Amino acid sequence: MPTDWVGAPEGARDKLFGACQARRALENSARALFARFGYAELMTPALERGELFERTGLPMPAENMCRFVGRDGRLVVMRPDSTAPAARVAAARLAGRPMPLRLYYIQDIYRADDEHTGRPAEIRQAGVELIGAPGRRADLEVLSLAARTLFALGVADFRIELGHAALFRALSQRLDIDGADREELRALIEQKNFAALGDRLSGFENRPVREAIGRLCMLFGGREVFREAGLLGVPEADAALNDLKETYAALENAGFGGRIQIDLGLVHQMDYYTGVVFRGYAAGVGRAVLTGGRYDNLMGALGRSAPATGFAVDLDALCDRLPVPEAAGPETLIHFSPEHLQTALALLDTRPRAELSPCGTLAASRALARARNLMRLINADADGEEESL
Amino acid sequence: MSGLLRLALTKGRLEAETRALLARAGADVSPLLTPGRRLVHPLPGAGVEAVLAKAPDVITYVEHGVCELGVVGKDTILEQGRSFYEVLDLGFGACRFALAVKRGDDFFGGYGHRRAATKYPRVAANYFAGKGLDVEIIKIEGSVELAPVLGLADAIVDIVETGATLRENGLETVEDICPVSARLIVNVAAMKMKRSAVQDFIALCRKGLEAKA
Repeated sequence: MPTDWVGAPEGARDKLFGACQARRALENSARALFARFGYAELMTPALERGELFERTGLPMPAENMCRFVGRDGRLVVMRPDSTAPAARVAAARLAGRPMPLRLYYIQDIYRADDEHTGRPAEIRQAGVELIGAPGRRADLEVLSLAARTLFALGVADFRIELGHAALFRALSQRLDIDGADREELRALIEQKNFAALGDRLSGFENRPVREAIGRLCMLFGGREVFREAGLLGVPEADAALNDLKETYAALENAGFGGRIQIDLGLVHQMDYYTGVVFRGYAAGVGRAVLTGGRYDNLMGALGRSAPATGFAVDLDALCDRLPVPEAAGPETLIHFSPEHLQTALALLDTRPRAELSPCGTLAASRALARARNLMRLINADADGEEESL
Repeated sequence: MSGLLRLALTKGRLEAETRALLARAGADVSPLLTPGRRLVHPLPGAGVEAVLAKAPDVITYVEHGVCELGVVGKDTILEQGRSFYEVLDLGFGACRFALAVKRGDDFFGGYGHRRAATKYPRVAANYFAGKGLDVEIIKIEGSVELAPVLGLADAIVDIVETGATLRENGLETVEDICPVSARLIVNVAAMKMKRSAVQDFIALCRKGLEAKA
């Protein structure tokens, strides 16, 4: 008999017993924290229209999205992130609700990767979106909540790095550059490929700007970053830098100092983010476990312009670093005849780790309880008579 | 855990060159000279423990974060992609990607169907796409030079160092695609979580590069 059905498709995984408990525990911690900050829970469907993500900007390259053609001939995607669906709900179903909206979700996202990369195809995320609130206070709320979330999820050793999407945007606009070249620069900055970035920048005319880009993108670390960055001479970029500095100072002041770092070369998903952006890392996980930032243009693409910010944390990555707890099994077997079902159910209700026996005779039930290593047998037919095994 | 960062080294020449680089920077690399049967080679003087791996595996280990650092050729990086920081061009292992054909062939002329054989399908596809050329790519695992000789392909995209292998097989370079050399790569999370140790190692490599210059 062929056995090629035993595994899930590549990148998808079963979770059993203790692993389920561990993840539920993380979900419940996130849920309690988000609720305490005034966020309300959403569940959106796993299937979304392709147009939604085309409108809001793709959260991942199109080839990494799980897409298919629906019966109506329109493109359907397995949601590649939950921000656009949450924004869709905020723009359409919640159109009458006053801003700001505080929404949270705990659900999976999906991605298709090359074969055998060891990356998950289904990722459980917990995330929040604060929609309709501009400015530093909203950024600080979401950033503090991000840090609190990592604490609440049991990550003692973590870092959150802050960057600003307007920095690279403002600076690169001053270069004589087309979209493809801009993307090439962005990719080099994202990879911290300093040598190639230097070579690539030397071709541009605007010397102060190209030097500012070269300098900025190498700067990451603590507060000293702002001193080293100096003045950039491009007003929007200097404003962004100042925004970041004030945000960092407020977080430091609130006691998050050692956990927060600056990375001026944080330039992921540039067509999506507009302001302060951030990523979180946890000891023992090789990739970012939390990503977020301000995305003030997304809601406008869905017809209800509003500033917004949010983040999502990868619960699976955090779960994987914890030992899997041993799930507690049953201790008691309840033997019963059909006419004593009511007694059996009453016994089941009062015993925390009991289960019903499917056996027709007490002897068979006893043998089953022994085979399963249970501690006791209860006979519902004899009014709950107990027998230790 | 030893508290040392883990460095994945591409087996062979890049490993030998990295060893020499670290030695020039003043680190004791003797454990790598007598590897024996060990799989992990502590180099406390360099703040790392080294593991030896095939080039694509170096990228896999670094991407997943089981190794914080890696030394790997730009050729493998271009072919594999993936996400990590590429922080230093180590200069050694220098060669280039090139398009080569049978001597005298006109690859760009005509409008017939064209085929190229390569060990690097992604590099080849990006190169042809960048030139706006419709070329079918065939992946070959071994000696790519054989493909045009046997008539399987019109051209090859491969790594060329001196061009001697091409000449011996009656092939010639039509165009250089891009230069290639060894790179120091860093896991994205390690760069943030173990920042000072990572930066110390980058500084050590820089010191070795300067000592050479």
